[in-house]
Amino acid sequence: MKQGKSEERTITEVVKDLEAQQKKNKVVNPVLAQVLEQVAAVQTRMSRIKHKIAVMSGKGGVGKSSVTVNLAHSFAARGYKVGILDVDLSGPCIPKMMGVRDRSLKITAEGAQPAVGVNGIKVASMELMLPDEGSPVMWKGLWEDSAVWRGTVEMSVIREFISDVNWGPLDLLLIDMPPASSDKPPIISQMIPDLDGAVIVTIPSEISQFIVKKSVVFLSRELKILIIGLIENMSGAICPHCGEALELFEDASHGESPLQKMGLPLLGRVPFDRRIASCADHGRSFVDEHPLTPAAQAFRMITDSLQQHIESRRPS
Amino acid sequence: MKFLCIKCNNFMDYESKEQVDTLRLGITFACTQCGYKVAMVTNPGETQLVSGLGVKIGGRTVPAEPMEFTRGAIKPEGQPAAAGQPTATMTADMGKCPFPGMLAGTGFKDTGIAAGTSAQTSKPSVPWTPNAEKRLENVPFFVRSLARAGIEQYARENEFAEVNDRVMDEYREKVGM
Repeated sequence: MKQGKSEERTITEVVKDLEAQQKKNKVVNPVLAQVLEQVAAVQTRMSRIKHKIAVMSGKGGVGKSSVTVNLAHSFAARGYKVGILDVDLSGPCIPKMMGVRDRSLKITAEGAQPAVGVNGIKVASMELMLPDEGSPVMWKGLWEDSAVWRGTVEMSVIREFISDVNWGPLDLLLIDMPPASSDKPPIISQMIPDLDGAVIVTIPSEISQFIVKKSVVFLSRELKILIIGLIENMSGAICPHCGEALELFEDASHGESPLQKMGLPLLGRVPFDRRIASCADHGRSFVDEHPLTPAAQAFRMITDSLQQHIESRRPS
Repeated sequence: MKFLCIKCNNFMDYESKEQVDTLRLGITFACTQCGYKVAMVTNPGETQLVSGLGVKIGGRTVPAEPMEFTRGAIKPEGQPAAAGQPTATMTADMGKCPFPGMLAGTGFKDTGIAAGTSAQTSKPSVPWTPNAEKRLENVPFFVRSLARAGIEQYARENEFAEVNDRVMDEYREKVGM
């Protein structure tokens, strides 16, 4: 650009000089300073949690929340201090499954106090900030019709859930992710860089595996999130009358699935058991109430694998 | 956002403000060396996006409270769309132009656009005729709530009892749509 002075300098050169001068004089951009404070708050809060595992799937309706809750109970039974962060802002169901829907996040000087459910499991969820069970999650603002603006708001909300919830010291935080989402996993991977990894929940249907495969590629290749392994939910059922094993999905062969062909370890297969849903509906622990069922045994086996993984990865 | 005086190679400083209308603010910046001035007109939608990051543009004077952003962002059930109808429970900057916050510490008194916006947001919405509502549907959905807020503000400022075809025509002419 043309200058009134003897030399001609580009805007880039001028701005870099001015900013270097500001840096020397310790002039801090107030917006940047707040963002750095936010990052520091996230790091401080997460540093008190030994292990963090995200429960994900590219497909909705495969039972992520149900798996999350039962894994939480299984870990709690082993003496782990467990928390569940429900990142499904629009469809939060963890509080109901944990029997804490009637609680709310209490705001104190130390942070938002999570609800405490069965087995001492702590829960934070958007649901705990809504007035009643029928309330949808809506955001307000001049741009409330804009998907771009909503995405920004939801990122800030998730950031606050990570930085402002006072979990206290936890051994394990399970993060229940929303389905079919491409915008939330990057938020988690960026804000929780020491994530132990993610477990991917799928069901035996080809459609589910087809969709989940896409999300696995996205999570592992693009976001560099470690995929600990797969959990095949609704993997057959036991007939309550004759005890015969039934395949719920026609093409379920229990052979090596497309996802396993990608080299992902199968952590376990959880057979369908309607008592899982019944316990979730009433906020009770399925693995504690029906410990001898194949499904509860499957959850314990999966917990074995996850426990082995996190303890070998970063000894606590 | 900064303005650069290309004559002096110097960042400009805030000098004064002027309320263009309820949703927009004109801000004058001046070069501290040569006195050259430039004015910008804020776009509330853009600044709303920045406020969506959960930062106070211009810096915080008090630390953020736990879940402050989330609590301020939740829209109560039953509240209609558009910025013109927040309830008294809304305490955060959502729904109003956050630019006055940007001017914190520059001598700007938060009585101009902020007061105007506050007044605008605390007033009940102006009733709409069915035909006006129908015409609003022609506005792209992602700017519809902004348009609604602007039209209602125009109707209030010009003492219309309702938003009707006349208001729509006049507003359209005013904003050059």
